[in-house]
Amino acid sequence: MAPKPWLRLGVAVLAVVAGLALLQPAPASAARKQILRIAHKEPDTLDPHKSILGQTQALVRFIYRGLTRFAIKDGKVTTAEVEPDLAESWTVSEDGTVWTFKLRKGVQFHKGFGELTAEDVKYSYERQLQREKGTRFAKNLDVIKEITVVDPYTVRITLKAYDPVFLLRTVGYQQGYIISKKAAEQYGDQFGWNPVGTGPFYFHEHLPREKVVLKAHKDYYFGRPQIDEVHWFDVPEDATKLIGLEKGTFDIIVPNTVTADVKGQVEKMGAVLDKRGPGGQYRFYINWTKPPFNDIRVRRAFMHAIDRQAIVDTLWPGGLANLAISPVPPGYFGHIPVEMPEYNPELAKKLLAEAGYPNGFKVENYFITKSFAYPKIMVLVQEQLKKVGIDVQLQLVEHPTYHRNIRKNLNPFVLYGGTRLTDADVWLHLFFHSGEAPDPETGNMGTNFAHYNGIDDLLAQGRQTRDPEKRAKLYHEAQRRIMRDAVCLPIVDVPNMSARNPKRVKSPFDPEYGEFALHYFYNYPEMLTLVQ
Amino acid sequence: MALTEKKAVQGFPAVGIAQLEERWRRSLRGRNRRKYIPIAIGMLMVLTMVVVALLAPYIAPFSPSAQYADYVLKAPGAGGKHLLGTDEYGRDLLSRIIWGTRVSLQVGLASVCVGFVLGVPLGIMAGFLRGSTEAMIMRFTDMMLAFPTLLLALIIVTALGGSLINEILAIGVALMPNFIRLARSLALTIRENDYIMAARAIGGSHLRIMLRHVFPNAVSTLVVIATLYIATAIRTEAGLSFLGLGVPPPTPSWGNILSEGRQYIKCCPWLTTFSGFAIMLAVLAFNLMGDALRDLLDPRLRGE
Repeated sequence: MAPKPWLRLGVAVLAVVAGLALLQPAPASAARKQILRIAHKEPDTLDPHKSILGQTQALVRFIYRGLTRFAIKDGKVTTAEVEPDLAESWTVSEDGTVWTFKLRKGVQFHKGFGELTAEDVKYSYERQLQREKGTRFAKNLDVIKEITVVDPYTVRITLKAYDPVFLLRTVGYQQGYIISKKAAEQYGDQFGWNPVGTGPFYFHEHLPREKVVLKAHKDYYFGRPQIDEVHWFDVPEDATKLIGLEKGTFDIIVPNTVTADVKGQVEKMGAVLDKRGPGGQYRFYINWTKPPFNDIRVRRAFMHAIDRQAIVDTLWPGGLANLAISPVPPGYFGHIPVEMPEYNPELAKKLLAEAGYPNGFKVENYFITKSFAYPKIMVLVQEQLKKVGIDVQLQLVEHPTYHRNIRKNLNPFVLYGGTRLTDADVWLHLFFHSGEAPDPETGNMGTNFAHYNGIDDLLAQGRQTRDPEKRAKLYHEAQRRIMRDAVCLPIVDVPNMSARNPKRVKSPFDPEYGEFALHYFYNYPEMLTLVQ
Repeated sequence: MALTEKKAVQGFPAVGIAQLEERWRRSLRGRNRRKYIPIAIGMLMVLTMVVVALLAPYIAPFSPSAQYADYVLKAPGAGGKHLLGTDEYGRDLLSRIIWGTRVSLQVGLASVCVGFVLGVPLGIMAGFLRGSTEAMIMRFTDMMLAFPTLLLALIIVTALGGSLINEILAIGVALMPNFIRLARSLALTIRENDYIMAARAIGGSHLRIMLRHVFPNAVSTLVVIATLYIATAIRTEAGLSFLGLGVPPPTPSWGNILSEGRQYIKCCPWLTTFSGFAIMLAVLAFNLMGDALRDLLDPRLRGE
């Protein structure tokens, strides 16, 4: 009876080996079709105007296009300039309020929904302007007064006033996507999972909690993409994504957060980390209406107490993110590096003493979300502030609660990160214009958490200025004023990152910021190619 | 004690006092001495925990919240000064685990006290008064028992917000039904005793009888069981912290060290290993002590 345990062990080993063999992807199916496998999260809809989720915005870029697109210059994708996409050319009136777009001829919608016409453009913008249920980006189009269909290939858009960033609003991003009028009317509420656009890929099927399958649009006007199918998997855990990338189950993964550990694993397995600017900028807004922060000495002390370099070195080591150099991040029109307050706890203490707080003070019930990098930054900052005597008592809350509370002005200084249309006009308006100061009384849900009103005049001038150089100068001055008044401390610019298996997928752009994209993914997914 | 006398008589009707004494002596020599080993180990571990918690500021090599940007996620022994390595903020893990003992012990002891203080009076009332009082209290208890302890604590903490006090209250309330049931069952047995009838006969009020006769006779058993629930409380605290509902940062607790370490489990397993080990040891200590105490104080073995 002696061999029996060995027999059992043998069977067990065999079972494990057989199991492992089954885990390997079947090579036969991959050889026939070119399938790009992406591990991300499941989108909530594929209606491009109805979701602010990152994964949805990334995926709809495959399906839809806008009148214009972000320009490719010297092999790099920029986000401050545009070039023709669905529109072949455009003209603008003397006073800058009437835009006439000539559409590209012969652009076909997916699944036989016919040729793109001016009616589709009008419909796509108007459904948002009319605040159709669920649309999220109407605010970005509010400048439009009227849309007229001149002929099937010409559309005229009249603005309420001159808008220096109007062309950016027509880019294929959020409000700018053009959908098929026929399909939208036919499917109604069901359009979200019956999407029809003009992009390089069309929607094939959705397996809930598993994947979304897209197929190449053979009539795509810039030519059919090389990839036959895109399988967009719903994978919640970063660890699962990394194993999948290593084993060849996935070709591209988008981790929830790219830590040094994730970077290390990606490099070890020979994959490439594609970094795309401008990404999000984490920064503190200091509410200058809230004591004791209404004293500029306290605000300056706060800024000198924070060791921004240590935050970047701890959370994003090895160049994973960049130390912020301005309240308007690089990649936005009008950005200029401005002087940042140095880390100097001694000076901070001195300033606090001058302001009447020689022993510092206590900030009770400071709310911070549990999501993304927010709690991590705050834990670091809490310890740094403690060194100068500012004692912050953290209260961890869920992300929606955090967003509600910061708009009720419950935090005297607010940590916030985000991406906006890449022009200082949009960015500064949303974050520093007095009209955007959140106020629970009036229901203002704006994002000017500093309650700043020092650059309203510059922003108004910017709206009137046609000369880009002069306009940029105004924003430069605005950035300097923001730092002078010590109402915002930019900390770090974190790029959007995804990991790619270079043996499977090639990208025409440099992994190191070769692309700027607001979509949280590749700007031109059709330019990705699979290695045979 | 009256209760045990009665049981002993019922259990061993033919055994005389002399034989009982002989049995007691024999058991002390042999099997019973071995019983003291787990209780000794358990008590020693608990004592160590208490000492570590009390002396945390003197024992811990670093401040538990001090961050060292050049020592992020370093393995045990890094730089010859971080014995158990460092976490994602460059904080010393050993110091954090030592300080975490405080939170665990505080929550463990305080929440059991809360559960005891809230649950025992209700349980004794239910068991002693019977009738509609009992029905009301017990149906309420059944309702609470329908939720697992962790889930109940989770609901309460979510409603109140995460802080040390709220955590203690939440776990205390979550443990309450266990104490109610136990106290009731003890009261049910005790109320049938002759001395209770005697107390009634001389005109003792319900309150007086419950306070002076029922509670003192139940308290030893209750305390032993409470020891066991300390382990449950520590586990629940770790669970809450792990789910992000425990003490807010930067206060270290074993649960949130474990939770923060989870995302680094592949590169830096020391974070989860050592904090998990600390939780395991603490639970083991209280379980050993509680189990041994229960065996030791089992009425049938207290032959006198």
